[in-house]
Amino acid sequence: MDPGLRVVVTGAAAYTVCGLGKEAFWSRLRGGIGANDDLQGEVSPRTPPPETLLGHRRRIKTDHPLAMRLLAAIKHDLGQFLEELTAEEREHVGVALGSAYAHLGSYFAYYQTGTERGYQFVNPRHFPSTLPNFFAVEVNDAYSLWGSSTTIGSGLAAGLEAIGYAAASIKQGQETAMLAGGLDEVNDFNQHLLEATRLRSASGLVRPFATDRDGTVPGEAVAVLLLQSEQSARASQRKPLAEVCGTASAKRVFWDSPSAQRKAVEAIGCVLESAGAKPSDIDAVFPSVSGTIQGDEFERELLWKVFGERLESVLVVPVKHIAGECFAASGPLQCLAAVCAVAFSSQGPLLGIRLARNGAKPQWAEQISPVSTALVYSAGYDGTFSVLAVRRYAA
Amino acid sequence: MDEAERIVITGMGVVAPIGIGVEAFHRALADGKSGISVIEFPWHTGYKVLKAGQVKDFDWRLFLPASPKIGRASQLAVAASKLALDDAGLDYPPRRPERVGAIVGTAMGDADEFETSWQEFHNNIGRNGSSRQWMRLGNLSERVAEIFDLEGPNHLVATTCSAGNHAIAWSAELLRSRAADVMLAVAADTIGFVDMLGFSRLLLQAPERCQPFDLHRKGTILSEGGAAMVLETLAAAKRRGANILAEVAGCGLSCDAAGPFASNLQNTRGMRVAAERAFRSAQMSPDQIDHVSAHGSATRLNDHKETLFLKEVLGRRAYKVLINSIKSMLGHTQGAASMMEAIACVLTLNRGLVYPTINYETPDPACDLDYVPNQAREQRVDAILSDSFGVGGNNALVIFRRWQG
Repeated sequence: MDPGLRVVVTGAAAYTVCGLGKEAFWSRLRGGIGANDDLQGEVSPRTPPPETLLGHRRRIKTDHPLAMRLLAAIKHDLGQFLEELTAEEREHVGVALGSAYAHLGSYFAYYQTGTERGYQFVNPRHFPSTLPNFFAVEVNDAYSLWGSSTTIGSGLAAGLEAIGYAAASIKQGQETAMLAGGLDEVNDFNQHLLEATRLRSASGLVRPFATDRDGTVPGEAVAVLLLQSEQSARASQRKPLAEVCGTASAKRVFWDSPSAQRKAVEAIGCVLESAGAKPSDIDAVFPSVSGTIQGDEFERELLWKVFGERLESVLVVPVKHIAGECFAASGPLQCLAAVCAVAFSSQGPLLGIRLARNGAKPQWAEQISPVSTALVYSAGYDGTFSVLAVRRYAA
Repeated sequence: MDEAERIVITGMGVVAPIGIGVEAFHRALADGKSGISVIEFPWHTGYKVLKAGQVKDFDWRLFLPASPKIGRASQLAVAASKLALDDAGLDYPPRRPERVGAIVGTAMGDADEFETSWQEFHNNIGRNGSSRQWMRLGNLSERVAEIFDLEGPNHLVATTCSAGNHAIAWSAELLRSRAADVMLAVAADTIGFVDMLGFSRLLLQAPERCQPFDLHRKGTILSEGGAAMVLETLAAAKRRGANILAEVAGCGLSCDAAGPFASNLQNTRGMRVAAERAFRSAQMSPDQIDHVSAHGSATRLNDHKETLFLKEVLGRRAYKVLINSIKSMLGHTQGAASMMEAIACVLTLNRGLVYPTINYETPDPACDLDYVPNQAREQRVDAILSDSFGVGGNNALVIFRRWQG
């Protein structure tokens, strides 16, 4: 590993309830549309059908809806970069995606057909989509990317872990560029899981940190960042939007576990150390917060432990009140928001929450001063925790 | 490369259809024993007879005193991990749990647990949310960490049949970057209804035997198993006086980027990218390879394509090195396959015995290398290339080198 090698974000792609493209998501987040008063119920029906946007590409062979959304997002936001790569450059571009539930819809459809109707009724061509690696290799395949293809299935933090993995692959000199992020869909099983664990909002509204919050709303999303080594970004004449300056993760960080706070604080400390930063250098936090009673309280306590009294001056920017709980795609979506906040702060103020001490009602506020360094973390109900820091790129 | 960059293996554990524990595994491989038998599924499949490699007489409760109810792949992963930690002489809980991590590779995870949970869900049973870890691939890696109190890096990599080698590669990088002092690289899979049905419907599952590189090969035979290795930097292993078994000299990952089954025979570019990376990271040349532990899945396409790939990478030396496929004995343990093969590589380096490719009867003109047919061969081996090629195009290659002390 070359400790001096810098990893920069030079692009991002998204497909969310807000529509196709990172702009659709970012403009809605920045404008605060949806904040507290315009929350969607079922988000998936509002996601536009990807086949209408994907267009004709010879190499795209899948008919899997989530894979099509993934490919549509990448084509929309990063297609030009990928199309212009030379064959030699494609050998050094890899893919790392995290997902918690993405392949299970196909898996159980295959299982149900096989067990209830008989083996002869399953379509053999659908077998690859029952495998967890299906989505990542579809991206490698669509753009002839011969670099590594990695699928991380650790749980709700898997998307952010994939970004950390990708950054490490670049630092170690294995790849010059990586497409990294996460994707997940709403299916019967994760909907049921949220209901059974009483995490689903009865009101259909996600109210992050609000005193009257009553749970979360499942969503589906794709969020992918283009990471490059600084040198590769320069060679491809792509302007860095931000620098990834530290990543870490922890497991068994269950909200009700006695050691959870310690583990999460240590992971955040590890990231700050890698970034050469102190808590006072952080201008904004893009948290996991999803409107659940326990989870939001856990995060509020965590942020107080990390920032102390200074927390009141740190802008906390949730994304799930707009996008829903997108499982392993949430972390990358938060990261995308952080990158946009760092890169496009001149576009205008950013809307977020000021957390007051111990249970006082949080206040939505606009931050006008630019965000230089931001912290992003996933803290899933499944005990997975991953964190990274991004900062404004300075040559 | 200094000692903090070099990665060594200090412990191994295996739970396989041909034996549990490294010694039983070695004896079975040396004897050319097959682990394939008729499989009994708890579900209706429509097939009269299906054969597979099952780990018989496996009571995982013997491995740990208090055994929670966990899926079959998790059981295999935990049992193999315990054997590896014991072999390495490591305590659990570790003295510094935050410095010991685990990467677990799998193709399908706890398929049996998923499928049972789905049946219950479908039949409206058990909808009480009693398990917060319900239906997650990540259960495997988390259970290994939980049971052995490992608090270092913990991830699950799901890159189908190459997942074992991928776990080794990722673990090695975490050690080199000083994210951990000790890494447990684990891989496990069981046989689920979906993968059995998937392979059968794609005509990739042989009815009777797994015959890698044979002219009349009819496909692979799915299997289950778990395997684990303890990895450390050379510096750390020396510091604690560990018994060093072999060195992980280099690793290379890539993707075929050629569709789910990479069905273009001539397109070996992705495989070559992985090989170039492995040799570059090992600072070795193909001339230094004595033996190849092949993916050798016994499908018509793979064995032909792998032979072409080996000729491209090794040149004329491809005809001189010994190439075997232990899948002929084990069947295809999916995500665990390359970890099983990695353990076989270390045994070969230490015992000077190259394991056979059994069920080899009729040479295939398209596969014209020395596949060590049917009988193990005594030979000193200093460096082994272990290759694995997963469904979807995931390639992961590892070079193992004899530890010279």
